Amino acid sequence: LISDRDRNSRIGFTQSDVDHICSLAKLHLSPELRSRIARDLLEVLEYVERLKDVDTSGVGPMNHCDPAGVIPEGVDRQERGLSRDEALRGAPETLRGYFRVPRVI
Amino acid sequence: MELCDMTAHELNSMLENGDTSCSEITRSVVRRIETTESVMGSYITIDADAAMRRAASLDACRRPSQKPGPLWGIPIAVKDNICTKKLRTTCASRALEDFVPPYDATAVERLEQGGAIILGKTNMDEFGMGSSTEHSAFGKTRNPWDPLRVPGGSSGGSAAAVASGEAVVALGSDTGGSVRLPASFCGLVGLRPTYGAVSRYGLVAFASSMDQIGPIARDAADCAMVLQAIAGPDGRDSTGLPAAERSTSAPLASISLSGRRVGVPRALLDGGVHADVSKLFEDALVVLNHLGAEIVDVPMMDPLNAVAAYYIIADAEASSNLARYDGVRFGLRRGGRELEEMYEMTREDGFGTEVKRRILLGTFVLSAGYYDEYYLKASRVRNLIANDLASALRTVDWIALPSAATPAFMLGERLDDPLLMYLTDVFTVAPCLAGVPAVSLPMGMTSEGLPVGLQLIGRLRDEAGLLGAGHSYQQVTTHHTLRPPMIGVSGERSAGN
Repeated sequence: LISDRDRNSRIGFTQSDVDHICSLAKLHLSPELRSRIARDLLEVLEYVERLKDVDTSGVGPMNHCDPAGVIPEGVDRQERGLSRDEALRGAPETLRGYFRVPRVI
Repeated sequence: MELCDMTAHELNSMLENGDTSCSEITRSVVRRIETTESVMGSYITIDADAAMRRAASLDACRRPSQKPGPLWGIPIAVKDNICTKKLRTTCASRALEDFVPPYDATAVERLEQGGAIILGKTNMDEFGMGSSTEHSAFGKTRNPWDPLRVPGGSSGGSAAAVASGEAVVALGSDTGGSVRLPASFCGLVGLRPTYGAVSRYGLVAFASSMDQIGPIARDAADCAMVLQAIAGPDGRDSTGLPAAERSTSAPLASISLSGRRVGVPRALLDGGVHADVSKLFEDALVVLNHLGAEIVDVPMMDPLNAVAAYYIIADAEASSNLARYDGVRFGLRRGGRELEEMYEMTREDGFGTEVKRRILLGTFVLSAGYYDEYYLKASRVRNLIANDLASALRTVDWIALPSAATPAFMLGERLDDPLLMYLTDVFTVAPCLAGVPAVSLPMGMTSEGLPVGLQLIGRLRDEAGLLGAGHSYQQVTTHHTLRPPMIGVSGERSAGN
């Protein structure tokens, strides 16, 4: 029998994985939250291991529900979208009709 | 009974007969909100003045001879992830605390065209991520049947509002069970329509391949009225279903259960289901059988696999959808002299812990080296689950399951155990993965006086069948007519209303 600890270690989810996905997700986390979430994720990943026992040979992936089997055909109609003012209305910072962000280069 | 505790179809008849007015109905609901909301916490934003003005203008513009449409003058609560041009739409997140959308969701537009009165925006788990409405940046919502318990989630505010008379009907959204679970916990009817039956335009995206707007109401007839108003093709949602021959939005017709087959996946019900839930479920099957339905055993994949596949897929999609909250175009922005720093600080302050957990899980399962092992595998399992349900639904008209394995749990009980919280959805996620409709109907009260729900899962586009069967069930049962004892502002429960 494989103990829980051994099984966890088989998942290979390490602290450096957490650092890596935080950086991919553009999330800065406090050290405390980082270790708590790492622990939670390990537990969830351990749980989803059960899918490895499901035989999916010859089964394709299903990425969306498309019950009608179609994305509607037909001609796209042009409609008025948001005006510049409407689009900018919720922006934290604007400058001369543009979204303003901190300096990039 | 006060107006705010009546069903929409009862109020519609009263309006038609001139026995009440939109203003009287709305005033009754607003008074209830004033009495109970400080305890319930159903809403994030309420605009009672606007609702009263709208009611007055509806009263003024209807000629006495004019028959009111089904939702005419009906006060409705809208989950706060459905965009409203006139009311901020927060998704219960600090990231959108002050966000006022520049457009209305299609469902909202259609409600307004139908004469409904929007009261406000209801509390929820942040971005729909949760099963208890405790993951909200705006405080908790209580269960009207027991204020120490959760209302379910993520559409917990919508369910609590309807159950407590703070709204007559409500819109929720269901990605993994977020309409049916709170409906079950609060003694209401909640419908998850077929994926694509209701436009997602203006529904803030969590997991786009599963998100659906659905009604929460006091009975199947009210649910059908709301669905009728909001369903149908919309050029602004390319994943919407084309118009059906037999419309998903046909008015409710009670259907005969004679000769119909209801499948029960017995093997799933052996362990882990609360004893009262099991008993009430068996009672409900007896009723369906008395109505003429044949109850048969059907095989179904272990729902624990559905939960595993669901959380991988939903979180993967969420990690992508929530990338937009970066502090640039709308919503919260936090400092930072550099762009990267601004992104990270904005997202750190904007998102709650559960959202961060989901984003990180989703990012991980999509990341290089893990995609095949997790996301691709889950997508294949999803296909199996969809086929599994489809083949079961070829042999039976509907599949019956409890909506949840337990009644409402205590506030805080599952908050520190994410996995246990995820398993709350054990019976609700499979239809979401497959895209088929499902409804939760009140099936009685536990020995502790808590409502629980009977779930019926139907074939693609069979909303009319699900609600028709529900209506037939409600013709011979009274579970849906029970109302929770009124909760006063002091937090004390009084002896009914």
